[in-house]
Amino acid sequence: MLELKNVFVTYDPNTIFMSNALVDISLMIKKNESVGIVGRIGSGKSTLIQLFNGLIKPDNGIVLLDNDDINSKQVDIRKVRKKVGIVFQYPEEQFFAETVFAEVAFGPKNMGMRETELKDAVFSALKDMGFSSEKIAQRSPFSLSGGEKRRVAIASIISMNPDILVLDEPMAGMDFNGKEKLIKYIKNEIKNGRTVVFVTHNMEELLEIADRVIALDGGKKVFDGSVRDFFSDEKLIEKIGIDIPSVVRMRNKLKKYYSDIPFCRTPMEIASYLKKRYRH
Amino acid sequence: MIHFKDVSFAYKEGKWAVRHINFTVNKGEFVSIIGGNGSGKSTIARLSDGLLLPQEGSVFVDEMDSRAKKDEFLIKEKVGIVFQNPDNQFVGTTVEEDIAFGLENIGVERVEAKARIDQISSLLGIDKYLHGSPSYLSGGEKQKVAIASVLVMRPDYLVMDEITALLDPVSRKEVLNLVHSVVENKNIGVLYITHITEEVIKSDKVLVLHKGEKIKEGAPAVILQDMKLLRSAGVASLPSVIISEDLRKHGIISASFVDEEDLIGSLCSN
Repeated sequence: MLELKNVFVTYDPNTIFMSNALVDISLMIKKNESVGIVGRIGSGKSTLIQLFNGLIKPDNGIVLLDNDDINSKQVDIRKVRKKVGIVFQYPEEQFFAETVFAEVAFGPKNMGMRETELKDAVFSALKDMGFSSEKIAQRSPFSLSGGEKRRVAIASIISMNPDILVLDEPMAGMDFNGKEKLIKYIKNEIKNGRTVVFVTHNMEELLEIADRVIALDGGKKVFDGSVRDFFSDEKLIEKIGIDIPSVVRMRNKLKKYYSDIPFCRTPMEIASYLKKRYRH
Repeated sequence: MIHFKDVSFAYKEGKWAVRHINFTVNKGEFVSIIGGNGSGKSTIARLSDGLLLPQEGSVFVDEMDSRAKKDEFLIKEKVGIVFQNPDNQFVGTTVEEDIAFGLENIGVERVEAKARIDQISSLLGIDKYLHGSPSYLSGGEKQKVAIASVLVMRPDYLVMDEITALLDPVSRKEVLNLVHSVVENKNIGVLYITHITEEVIKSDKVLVLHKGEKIKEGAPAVILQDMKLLRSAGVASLPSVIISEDLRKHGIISASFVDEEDLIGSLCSN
């Protein structure tokens, strides 16, 4: 469990450039939740996730992981980073290894994993990200397609078997096919018990993956609740500059005629409801 | 007219980026190209004003062959291009200088240049930023400045290569609507390249590109209802089409709808 208590982060304190990146943020992320973090560019999303594994320290407030203050001297930060794995934007730009295997093995190796376990960890992570054939492991990561690269980059964090997987704009720059696959594999991670936190601009993605939404505006938390409640709050959505996804818009319009239509996350959920409705 | 006649291009020998491409863009026409990553979309943008030259076939701009050295500058004047990342396109220290850069290069007089800049920037709603630095603008505003820099050159054709890809959804819609409203009044031919299905709805015609080949060309209503085609090209189908195709299969409605309102109307009149 990850908990932030009254966290403040200030950039360039005591200078004329001083700016408050995060203001009094408290939140709790429980096991096996899937949380989407949304907000405009510069709202503090990326700062927030860097607090999760100690890459940034709060100027005030504390960050607790399984009840330990991760920034205290008694806590081994390496253990924190094993538990909280962060995949940054365009992670494939940081590939360096000659083979996919070496790329995915790098993290767990650094964490001191033994050779015997290493192989299993690498192949299981690759399998999680949809690479069923082990042949991929010997290829150069640079020879892969854009979508494959992204999935290898995520596998290189999953290979450390983190409790919490944090993704910063995981679908950025990907086309429909790539997105569709990645959404499927991320949803599988959630189903298999991994806690997933991701930053996104894409509301379709948010609808499909997240159960809970945390919205930031100007460094403040302005919403924390279910996806359903988030999309019902039109005033808030407009304030933080988010476009209502067409599935939600259509569902809301249909609600005028079909008062019992449930909240729908995908077009097929709307279709299923309508089919049921017309069968009677 | 921009005319691609059996155009093929390879960056590396033996590996075609685009192959046997045929299509035309007339003045006043809005033509969209849709396709996934690696489909050859950006290559077509670069071929359309002679930034790249085809190895096979020809690209004509108002009958001028892009390979004819003597017409090189005339073609570049006729065809304006806006790219995905506006940050790569800035040269001036103020927005106004930036927009003026192209005009100075072709020797347009100061008074005339000023008039053109004022007109276009008020049309695009960026007149209030003219004296500020482009680096302080948001992504959407920067992209409007990039569009203005091209429009002041009074091109006959405007090629836009994924100009909304880096924008948030709200500015994305705003920029696209602006493009539509600006070109409608100017008799400019537009080649609009995107991977976002929603953005092609208002086009006159749509080309679907896959692995360097044009796999279909047609009216948006026809293309957008073909879910199989879009899937094979690696682009998303519209929710309205996904829903109506499923309902149609089950005999609940009789046609498929691209427009959400039409779908809802058809359901609710039953």
